[in-house]
Amino acid sequence: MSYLTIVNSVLEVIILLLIALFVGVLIPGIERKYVHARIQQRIGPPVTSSGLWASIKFLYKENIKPNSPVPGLYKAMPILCFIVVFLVFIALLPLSYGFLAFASLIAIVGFLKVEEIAYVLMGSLSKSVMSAGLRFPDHVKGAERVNTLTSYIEDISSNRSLRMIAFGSFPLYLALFIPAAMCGSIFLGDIVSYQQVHGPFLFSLAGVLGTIVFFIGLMIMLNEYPFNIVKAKADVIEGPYMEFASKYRTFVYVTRGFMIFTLSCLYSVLFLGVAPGLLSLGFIVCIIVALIFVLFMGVFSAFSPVFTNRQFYPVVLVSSVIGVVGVILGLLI
Amino acid sequence: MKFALRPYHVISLGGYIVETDFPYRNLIVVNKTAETIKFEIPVFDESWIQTHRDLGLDVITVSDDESFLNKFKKVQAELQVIKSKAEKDMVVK
Amino acid sequence: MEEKKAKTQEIIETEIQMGTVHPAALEPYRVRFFVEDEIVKDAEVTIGVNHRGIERIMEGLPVEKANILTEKVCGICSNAHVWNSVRTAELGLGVEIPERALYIRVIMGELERLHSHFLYLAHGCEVLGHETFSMRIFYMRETIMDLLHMVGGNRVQYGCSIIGGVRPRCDLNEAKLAKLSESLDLVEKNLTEFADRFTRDTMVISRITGVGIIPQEQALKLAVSGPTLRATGVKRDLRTDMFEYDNFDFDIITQPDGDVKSNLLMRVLESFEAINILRQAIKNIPEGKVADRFWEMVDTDIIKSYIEVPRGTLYHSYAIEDGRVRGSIIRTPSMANIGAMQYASIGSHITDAQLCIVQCDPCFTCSDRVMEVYDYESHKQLDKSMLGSKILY
Repeated sequence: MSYLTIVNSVLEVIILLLIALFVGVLIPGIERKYVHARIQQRIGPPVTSSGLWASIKFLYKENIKPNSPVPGLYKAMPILCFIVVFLVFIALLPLSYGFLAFASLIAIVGFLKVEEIAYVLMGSLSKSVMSAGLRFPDHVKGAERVNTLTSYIEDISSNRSLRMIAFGSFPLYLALFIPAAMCGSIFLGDIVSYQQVHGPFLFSLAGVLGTIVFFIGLMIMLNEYPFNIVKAKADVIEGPYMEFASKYRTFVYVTRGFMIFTLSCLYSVLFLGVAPGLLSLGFIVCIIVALIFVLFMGVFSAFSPVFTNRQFYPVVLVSSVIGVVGVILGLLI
Repeated sequence: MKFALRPYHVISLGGYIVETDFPYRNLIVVNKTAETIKFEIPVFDESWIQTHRDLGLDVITVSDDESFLNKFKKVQAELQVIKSKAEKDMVVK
Repeated sequence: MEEKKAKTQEIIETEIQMGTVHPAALEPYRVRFFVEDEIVKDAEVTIGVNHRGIERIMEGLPVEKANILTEKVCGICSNAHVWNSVRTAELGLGVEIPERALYIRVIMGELERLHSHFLYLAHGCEVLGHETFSMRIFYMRETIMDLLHMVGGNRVQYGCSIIGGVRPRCDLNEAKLAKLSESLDLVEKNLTEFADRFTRDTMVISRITGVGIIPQEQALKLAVSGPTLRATGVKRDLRTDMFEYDNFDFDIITQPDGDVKSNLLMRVLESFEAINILRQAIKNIPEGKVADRFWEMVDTDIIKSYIEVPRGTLYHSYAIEDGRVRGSIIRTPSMANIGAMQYASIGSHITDAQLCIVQCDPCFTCSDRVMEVYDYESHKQLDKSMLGSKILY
């Protein structure tokens, strides 16, 4: 590989990253202004305020030392999440299809797992003032059950994240392997080139099932309403993110938008056969896919209450079954 | 449902009493100790008084024809003496 | 039904504390949930962090001033407090209230019921995590708030009732009555649409059915009142005993189950009934003066007055001595419903636990105000540096 190619590739990645980040930080605003607010018959916030300006604003806020046994590790988590999403994003770019082990579904699943584990760690490391951290006379004379073990609400969040790893993210991973089953390869390069020859997987039955399952999996992965039991406002409030302030919160915001965009790119690659490259139509397709996902996510979240385990388990079960059917159909083709 | 009464504080229960089957009009609850004490609300019956006296609270009953204000002010004055004495002891220590 | 309380010997896995500041709770209270695998086995709710002791402040105040002060007890049912406080004095002094004033009081009372029930529904939907329903109800509530503003001159503190009737500024002319009638049509239409949409939403119904059940016997044992009691199937509404409602024809709504669904539907159906009462009031409001100013102040024994307010039974009681209040007691509906909240959360998933508390329509501001954060170990007032998180400069 020549020196020029490397420089070109690095430049391409940087430019694509900047565009992706820009689109990513606009996504929450679009969701809130043009979907939620329209459904709820209100004006809504400015498009740029909830993602873009909020991220910039938090950079200038004073930092709060999180009440955590390992504050350094806790604060490093959003950065780790960002790096993981960035790696997934690079893996999706056509220039990395040559690195077979990196640009494969197994690698992507691995990266996403790291992201999920980060939630567990964040939850168990955060000890905010919102529950046991508040100096309230709980265990005093006259109180009930004075010698019980106390947990922070973030611990519940952490436990729930752990369950998410066990079963919650199952639909997304099943959806990822439907294209692999259809083309017979787990390498992204093969999946894209197969679709360029045979047409996008979306236009087959397995592809449609895959899209449904991918979408549900995406919402679970992003902890979006109604699957936001990890950070439900009714009990755990912000959950793992509770103690992030200032620039760390900026990272949380930016990573979330970036992740929505990256997962949309992943969908484009796997089901449309369109790779996000610079100066290509592919990147515009990815942006459109991201906007469509945001639109649907907004509609779903606006019309649904938070799911507790009673609603969550059946939804995961049904979508997993659809995913399995999709994989079987993919193998039969 | 509990109510946390802070050290050296006094509270009149009034509205926390379910008055349908309760012989007194009001109760004045005093915490003369240096620790917070939680007590149970609402008050349903007379046995509440003894239970909470056992817990270390002073419970003063006010019936219909008694002056609530007199009793309350008296208790407040007593409490003030105890509180300042306790603060003095703390400084000496 | 067996009482659903955890045995004291039972091993509790862990204790989760929430509050005093929590987004699902509109007011400051501390909850300790004793949970086992996210299921609440027992609970302890502590209030009193904002205690102001308004009854103590009322002690010795002139009756008129004390009446105005009672309005500050609650921000939601402010009219109900001043109404009942004034009613207590009127009962003691034997004041005749003009018929028109009674009608205006009923109109204000029912408008307040609508506003309180809508607030309850919106808050309930928000705790459920359904922002759209919550927003829609707030949207409907705005119409009611405009009406309250029109009649009372304010959105929250109307100061409508005075001893002998209502303030002249709260009198209703033809234009105001027409506006009332027109707005009620709009509210009814919106509420019907909402109720239809709400009951057909399978996801919402699956979240609220069978959650936070309060059995009827338990509700009676805990002296629960108002819509929370009626949601358990008890047909008890104090409005049937109030002379103000003698000329009105209305139904007492009940629900069978005592769960969150029953409680939410209870408020929706009661809102329709409130609109029905308001329509009757607008149609039949008599002509005449709105206040009787010629009453005499005398000393009285202890007077007791009970009225039905949006959240339950409100009890005001005091004696009058030299025109001043003595031995004042206010029992707000939330105080009566307090026991049920804790009970309702037992046995539910921890995400539903706050919902179970909310279903009893708590209003702790009714008795508590003014917060002071203090350290219970050193007995000192807390500042920012003493809290768990440290601010880095």
